[in-house]
Amino acid sequence: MKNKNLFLVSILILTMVLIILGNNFLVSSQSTTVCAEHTLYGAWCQDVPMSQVDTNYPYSNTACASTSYCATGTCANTVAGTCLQSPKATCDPTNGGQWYSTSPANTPVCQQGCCNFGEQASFTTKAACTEMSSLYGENATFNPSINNEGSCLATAFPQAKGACVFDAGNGRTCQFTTRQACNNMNNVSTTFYENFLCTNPTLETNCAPTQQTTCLSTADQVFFIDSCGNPANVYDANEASDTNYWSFVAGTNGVPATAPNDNNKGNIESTTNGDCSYYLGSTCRAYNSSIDPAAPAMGDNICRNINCFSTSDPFVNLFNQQYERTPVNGESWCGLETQNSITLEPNGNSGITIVSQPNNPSSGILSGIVNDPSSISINKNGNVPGGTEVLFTCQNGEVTTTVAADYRNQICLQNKTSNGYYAAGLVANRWQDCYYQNDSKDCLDTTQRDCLWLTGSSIYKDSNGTPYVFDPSQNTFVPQTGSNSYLTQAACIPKYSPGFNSSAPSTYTQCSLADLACYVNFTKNGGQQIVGGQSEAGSTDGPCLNSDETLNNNWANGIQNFGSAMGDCGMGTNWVGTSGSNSLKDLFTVITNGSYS
Amino acid sequence: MNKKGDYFLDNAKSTGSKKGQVTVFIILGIIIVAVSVLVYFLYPEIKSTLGIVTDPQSYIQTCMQKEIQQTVTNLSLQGGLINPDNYFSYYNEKLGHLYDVEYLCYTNKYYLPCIMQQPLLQQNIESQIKNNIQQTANTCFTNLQSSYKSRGYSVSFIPGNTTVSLLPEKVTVTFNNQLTLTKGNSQRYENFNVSINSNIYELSSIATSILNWEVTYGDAPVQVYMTYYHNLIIEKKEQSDGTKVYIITDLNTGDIFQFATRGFVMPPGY
Repeated sequence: MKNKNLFLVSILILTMVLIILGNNFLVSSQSTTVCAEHTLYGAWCQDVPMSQVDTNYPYSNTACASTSYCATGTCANTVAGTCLQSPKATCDPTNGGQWYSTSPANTPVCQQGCCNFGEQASFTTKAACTEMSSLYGENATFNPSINNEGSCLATAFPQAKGACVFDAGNGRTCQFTTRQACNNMNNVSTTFYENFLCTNPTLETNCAPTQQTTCLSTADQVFFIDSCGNPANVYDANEASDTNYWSFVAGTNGVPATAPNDNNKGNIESTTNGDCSYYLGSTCRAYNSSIDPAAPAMGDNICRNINCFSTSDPFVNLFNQQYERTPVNGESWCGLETQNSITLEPNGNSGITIVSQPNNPSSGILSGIVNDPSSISINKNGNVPGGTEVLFTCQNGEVTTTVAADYRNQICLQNKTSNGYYAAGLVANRWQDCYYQNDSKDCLDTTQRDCLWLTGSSIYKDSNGTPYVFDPSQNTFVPQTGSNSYLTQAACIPKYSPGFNSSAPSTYTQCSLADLACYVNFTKNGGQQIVGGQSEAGSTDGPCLNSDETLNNNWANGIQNFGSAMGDCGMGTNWVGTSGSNSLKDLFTVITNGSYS
Repeated sequence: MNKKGDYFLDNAKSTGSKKGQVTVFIILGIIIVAVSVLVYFLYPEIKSTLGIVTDPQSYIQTCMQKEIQQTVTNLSLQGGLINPDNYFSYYNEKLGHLYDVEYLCYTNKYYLPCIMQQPLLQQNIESQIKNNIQQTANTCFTNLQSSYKSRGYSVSFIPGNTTVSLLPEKVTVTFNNQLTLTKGNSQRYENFNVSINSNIYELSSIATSILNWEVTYGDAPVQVYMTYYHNLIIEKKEQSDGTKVYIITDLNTGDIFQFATRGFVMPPGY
């Protein structure tokens, strides 16, 4: 009987152990991810919960980088010459893909060199060079010894073009092309005349001058075309009847290299001159009466104004109101979304501004006020909950917008160039390791991070919540004692306050970095008077708690400002100007400990 | 009876009648000329509509052109896929339409670069076009054969494979079918080529270059591309979940290619 009981108890214990172990296994299975070669939602090579795995494909309980099917390598198409970093799973051999486990830089077939074909140069692979030669019908040469794009592009040169004359059955005709292309024409006997236009009368071709024009994909200007469809020189109405202008390529044989310009204005909307300039704000476009103010005197093409000049565009109008002109092609600038509109930022995001902070004795300025949180005052300058910046760009006559990443993980920076135009861009907000910097030099190192050094309060605290102070002689934070009360509390805080997810637990952790404990010792002396109430920093400028045990608002505001500098913490208004639900008293808790003596 | 008045009345009637006749003939002449002009310009379509086949190559070109164009347009707006499976639903304000835009580079994680989903983008687009047009192509060839049979031809048809090539400024589809028509003597037709004007080769090349930036650096400098390619507008639309939708527009042709990526996403806070 005894043995039977013992046996039953053993079975019971064993069962309980197995249940516990089984639960742990289930829990861990549900909470961990697996590397799925293909997921149910169509993505390849993702670490996902088992419930999202497409089990028709391989999967395993390891990170994708450790698998054979999802490790990152190079997918090369040896015909097209493309090489891209990718996992093996997405490199489809039926589409011509060949996968290598090495990176593109270390894969021999992906080695780049300089490909010259026609007038062009391209820094690419040998296979891509061969492919381009085939596609564009030009002989190509590949030089592997040129190993950077700049040097390669410098080798591009415009081949001399001219009139390629041949008999086409219906008469003597002509094509304006390069010598090489002329020589490669099939089944015809050709003669090439360098720098001649097909309308040169001495060639006696059936190509005649016209008053028609065209745009070329390889140039910004408007060009005359002859009756055979060949491009001639740049459109200039004054030269339309000039025999020499129709005989030779511009820049040769007495023909001016460029048409007369309009004092560097790109011949914008000129009806008689097609010498457009992209960098001066014009390019060849088909005339459109709803866009272009006047029709060209000849042909159907014109140097269209590609600056953003139309104030009917609200973004152009906004720019005009701020800067008293309209934006030019290529110009970019920053704006901040507000409730009803967008506010432009002439200097981009200036970050939070420290309006005032306690004087720092370490800097040589002595003051009785060393550590006084009530002196901290900042201006968030738009870095508020929901505040999002926008990058505007004027390109080809249109203003395009790019919204910065949410939570101010991107900020907009703007500069003015020497010629008075604005250039802006979105950059990453490098705030994440500000809190960990324990000296001002590292804090303010703009090559590594975007932070500010704020005095008056500290992030580092002891277990009682007493802030540390910064000791310059040790270049670190140290506990505060009676003998080092002259040292300053300080903190390295984000220059551009990051945004937080209001419902995420981590938000409370981050905002709690600004927590501060203020110990108040008071006694009731006979009557009801309370004495003491100084903060642990030894400030004599007022307690954190008034004598009637109410919160000292000056002190509290300083702490609130410090917290606000951490990110979207404490009180504040959001991007549409609506105040948060917290009031000052909601942010502080009075804890009574001990009893009156 | 006033003979003089009658004379004038009769003269007027006669003159008016003659003028009216002339007017009618003039109007008739104008109509004939107009119809002739219309027939001259619309003849291929009219013949096609009426089921009259001019020659097999032209017939296939006309029959397939619209289908190929529509396929290219549709997949260009969906990141290169006819039926996107891993996509972001994006509302294109300029086009006034919601599109399922395929992720060409994607990760579900924070901080990490995206994982290339379509390293062979152009080749995949070619496959997508080929698969999508096959049914219509079969119908076109069937109708072509029927048309000749109805005219007394003996028709021999050997189907072959279909190849799609994205080329600079055009898309060419080659049907390597063999068609032999016999009525008295035989004529053989093979390698039916259909070409449409499209910049999808150039736009997808730019897209591939952008993807290369995305997978390596987590972002692409779109302004640099626009400075180099004056005919392009490239927009980058960042979404709230870290997705980026790139929209590449060719100002000369109006062609658009748009696609999505998600990589190097920073979460809120830490």
